Amino acid sequence: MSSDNSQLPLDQRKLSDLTDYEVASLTQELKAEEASKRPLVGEVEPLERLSDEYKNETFLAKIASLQRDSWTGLRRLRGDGDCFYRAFAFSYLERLIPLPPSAAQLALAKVESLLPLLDQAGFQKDIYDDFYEPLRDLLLALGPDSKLPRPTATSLHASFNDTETSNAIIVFLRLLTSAFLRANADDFTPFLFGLEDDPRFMLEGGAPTMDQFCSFHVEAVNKEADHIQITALTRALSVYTRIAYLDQSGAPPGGFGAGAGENGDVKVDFVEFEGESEEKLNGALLYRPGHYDVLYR
Amino acid sequence: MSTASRRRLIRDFKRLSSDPPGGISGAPCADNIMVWNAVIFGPADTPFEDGTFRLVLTFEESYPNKPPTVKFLTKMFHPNVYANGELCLDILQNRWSPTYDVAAILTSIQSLLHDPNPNSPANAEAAQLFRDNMKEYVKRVRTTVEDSWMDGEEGTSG
Repeated sequence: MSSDNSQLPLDQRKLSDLTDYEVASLTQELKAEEASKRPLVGEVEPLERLSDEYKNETFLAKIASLQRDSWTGLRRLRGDGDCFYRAFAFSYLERLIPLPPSAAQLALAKVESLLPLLDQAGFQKDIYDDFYEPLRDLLLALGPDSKLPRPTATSLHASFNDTETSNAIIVFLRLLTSAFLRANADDFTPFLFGLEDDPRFMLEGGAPTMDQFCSFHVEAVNKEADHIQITALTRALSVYTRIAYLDQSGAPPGGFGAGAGENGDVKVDFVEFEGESEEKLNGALLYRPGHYDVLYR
Repeated sequence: MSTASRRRLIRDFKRLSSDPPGGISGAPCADNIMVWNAVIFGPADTPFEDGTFRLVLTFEESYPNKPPTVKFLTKMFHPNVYANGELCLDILQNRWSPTYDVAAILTSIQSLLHDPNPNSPANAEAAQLFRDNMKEYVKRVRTTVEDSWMDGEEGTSG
């Protein structure tokens, strides 16, 4: 497994020499580098622009099906591994803007009720408070007792493009996710798995312990959220979230023939987290392999 | 110039000086808050006992979203320390979280001294001796401990 040049940086080694685990690390490095050129959170743009990026017929048919379901807009996020948390946080706060201030008050009470879990997980209050402050301030500003001007989609967009604010919110959500996973380890541990050749988890038979999973895959910066982190975070905050999966699944074998035409059979799968929606939601997250954006209609 | 990283480093310094964990010390350079000198004292009851190991931490504007680069200035003999003093420690690479401050970084390095990680050898000889020949490993470490005293004196006079 380890060849003579295993001490070289990953990007100077032959791709065929790398293990799955090393390829995953390298992919993340390259993505982070490429991503740093985009804004953290983009403006809302028309969904049809997405069609320009794809030649693949499954993707095009799925984008068309989203448009038929009246999804019209897309807000792109920087693909730096933090995109799920950033998309979630943005959409979570943006949804509160048109609602009565009591909704933000309720949301804040929910967050406050989770703080003891952070202490229980061993995070120090004086450390996590710094990362909590920006989210708390935004929720307070959306609440009934605010003396500050009420945040708008525009001001929220600006806050989320301020690196310090944006990253602090992500760190805090990562800590919440981690604390919730740790507190409910019995429920979540069966779903933990590691890449087969990940040397760190060999001793445990290939799967990380909850502690390892949280420190490597939840708390660490730029680590993508998978189903388990998304389940934990939405459940912790009781926030209904739905995610549209724009991927290759459901493509007919052999692709679309000339006769397929306007194929209405290909639908985008929406996966719902944290129960049924009580209110009719006009927002969702859009997943494309390895990346999350915000979807509007 | 006040930036997020500088403000955070000032906080890190306050925290480190008001509540210093045992066996570590660190402070920014007088003329550049982005570069810190630190000393880790070898933990008692380990081969590194009584050693004074000097390090330099270099921070970028992206701190705390990105970790600093950390390098031993003292010559080390340790499975996870490269010949040039750079070290292989997961929290400084793929397990970094902005919740780690300077005190947490130095404390982690201190525990790495007596608890090497056999999965990421940076010094093949040290890793092999640690695994197969503890007696020789301890002897080699003790030599660096003794050398570290000389190194410390040079440091203070220079």
